[in-house]
Amino acid sequence: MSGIAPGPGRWRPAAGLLWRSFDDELVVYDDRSGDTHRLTPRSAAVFLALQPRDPMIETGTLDAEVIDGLARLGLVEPE
Amino acid sequence: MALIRHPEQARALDSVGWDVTIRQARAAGLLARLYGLLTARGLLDAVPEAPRRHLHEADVVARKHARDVRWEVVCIRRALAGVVDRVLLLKGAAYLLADLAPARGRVFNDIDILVPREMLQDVENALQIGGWVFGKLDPADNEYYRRWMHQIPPMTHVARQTAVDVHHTLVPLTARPRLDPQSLRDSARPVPGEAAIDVLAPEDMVLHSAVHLFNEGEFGRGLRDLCDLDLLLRHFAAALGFWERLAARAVALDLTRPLFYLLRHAARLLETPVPAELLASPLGRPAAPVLALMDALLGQALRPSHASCRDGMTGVALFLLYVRSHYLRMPLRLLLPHLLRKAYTRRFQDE
Amino acid sequence: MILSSIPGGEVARRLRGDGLSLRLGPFTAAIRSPIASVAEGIAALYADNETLEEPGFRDFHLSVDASGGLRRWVRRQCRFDFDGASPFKPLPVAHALPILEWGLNWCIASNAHRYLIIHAAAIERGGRVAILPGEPGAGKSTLCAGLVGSGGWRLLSDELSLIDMATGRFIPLARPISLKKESIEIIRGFVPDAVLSRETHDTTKGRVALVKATADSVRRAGETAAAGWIIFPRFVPGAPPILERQSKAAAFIELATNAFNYSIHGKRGFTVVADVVETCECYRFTYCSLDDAVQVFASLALTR
Repeated sequence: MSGIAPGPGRWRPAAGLLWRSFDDELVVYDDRSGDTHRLTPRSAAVFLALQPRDPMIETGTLDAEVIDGLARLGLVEPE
Repeated sequence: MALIRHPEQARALDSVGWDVTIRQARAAGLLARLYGLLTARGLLDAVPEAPRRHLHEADVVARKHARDVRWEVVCIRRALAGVVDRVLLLKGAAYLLADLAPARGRVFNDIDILVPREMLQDVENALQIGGWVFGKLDPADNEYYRRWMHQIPPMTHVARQTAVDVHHTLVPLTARPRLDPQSLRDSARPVPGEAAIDVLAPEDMVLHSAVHLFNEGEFGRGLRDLCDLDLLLRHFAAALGFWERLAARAVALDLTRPLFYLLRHAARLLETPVPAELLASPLGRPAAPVLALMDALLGQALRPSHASCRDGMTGVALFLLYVRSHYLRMPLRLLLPHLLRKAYTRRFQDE
Repeated sequence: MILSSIPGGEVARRLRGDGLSLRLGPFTAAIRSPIASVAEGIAALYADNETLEEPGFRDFHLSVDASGGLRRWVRRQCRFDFDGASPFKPLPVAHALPILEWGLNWCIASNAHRYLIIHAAAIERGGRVAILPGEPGAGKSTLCAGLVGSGGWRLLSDELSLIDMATGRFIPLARPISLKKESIEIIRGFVPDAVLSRETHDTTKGRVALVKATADSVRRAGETAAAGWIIFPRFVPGAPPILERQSKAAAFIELATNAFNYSIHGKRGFTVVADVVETCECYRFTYCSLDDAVQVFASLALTR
């Protein structure tokens, strides 16, 4: 499941996800793979910034390293 | 098991009747199927609460299984991107992705795919890169697979523990019916709504399952497999000319014998609406003494594998069918050493 | 009828015959076994459970049969069976009683998907449940037996916490607690009136004994309860009792990992676990004495 290039661009959350915030952490469930992920505060912040898609947010400005990690987990996809 | 045929009898069952029904259906792997049948006919409310819970629980497991299979197919397709353009699914995964009736409430253990024989090595390599590995296999078993079988040894994904069976044809290379896998691939159909996923044409799907059930010796869940075929036949029979195409295809692929057994036993045990003229036709019908023996054996083997309907005959019948199906696959000179070796290793492991 | 009102001979006769039908929390089970230690163990451990006298539907039909070798007294083995399936290889017949208990756990854990089933002890006080997941050796069962026997907590379950998928409430099972090795002596000392089965030696888990659920727990098996605390216990010899907050996201992952059927339930399983974690206070608890544990848990109970 490689082949998703990290870096700037527009990203959106993958389909079929459920999540719940606990303090500043996040637990995300991916119904396609059946995997459950615990996101650290840093990742949680980026993930949530992508959520109610504000078309004005240029996701390329977000933490690229985190986006790369989220993409590898299949939680975000390039638009 | 009359309930599978006539779900409306659910209304007449008392608490003791449900006790036996749930146990038998569990042993036969048919609990989720029963849930589906009763739900479809609006009969679930007629089931008392305690047994109904078990039906519902089996459905929860079946739906989880369906999610897993869909995901596994996505993973296989990704792993094989660049090797094959399309992935042709067989058996359970095909029913599920094509949304065919037998998929409902069906739990199976591996994903079967069909690839051209000349692509085998590339497919194997790509799957290994993707994380699938061969299980422990002694050299003789490996040799047996590679030389005689219609598939390579099963591969299991290291992380997900899911198995994929890569087939290059539908029957063992030594089997008496030989068939051309290219013609199967040529008639394959794309699955609507799925990228690059194919399934066999309806007639081929039925014939493949019939071969699998009547020639491969996996009778432990024979009744369930026969129920699958019953559902497939009822589903496909809605299309005009299906029975004629099925018979013609069986002749073309030299699979008239398994088709004969399938139609005969489906009609007998499950009242599958097979046209009378097809049932009576000489197509694939064995000589009378063979037919009588096979009727007796299959009648035994196709019962639910639960103690409340098992008698002394069933073990013998299952053994004979196991031997028979090997005989269909392998010339005799190969068969005896293989069975002896199997028996020997088994005994060795017990000690 | 209550099992203790049936004479021991009759209990053994039913076990040898069509089966003894018992109500076990929300389940019913018909149990068959010709083995004397099973009859004796069931009569003692399930004395307060209700029997079912009429034929009818049972959730589970189980048996533990003795399979004699050529000479019955040499290497006699027993085999657990649930409608033709068994998770265990045949084991020495002396292990029959714990095998029945573990087999019953297996039946529930692999079938009862009307519940989210977590491998954890669950005890209740004041209508709130403390969930105690635990790695083997963490002292979960010892802690559970101590708090239930002498700490004023009610036993819901020692091994299988059942959460109703529809309501999110905890369902009591109130079955025996399985103790290993030194825990047996610790509980004998700490809970003098505890009813223990005979010890079984050399099982896969070592020396084991089963503690009968308290009469109060069995009698109140119909009373469900709400989630209160998730507490990960750890037994550390000589350590002072320490209760420290645990990240809820971490508790979520541990709870889901300890659940037998979290993944089976998919989205719904996620939501049920998330709701439980959201309601709960989450802690890690290090302890070395049951006296300390009783005190810490008592003050915890006062906070909610």
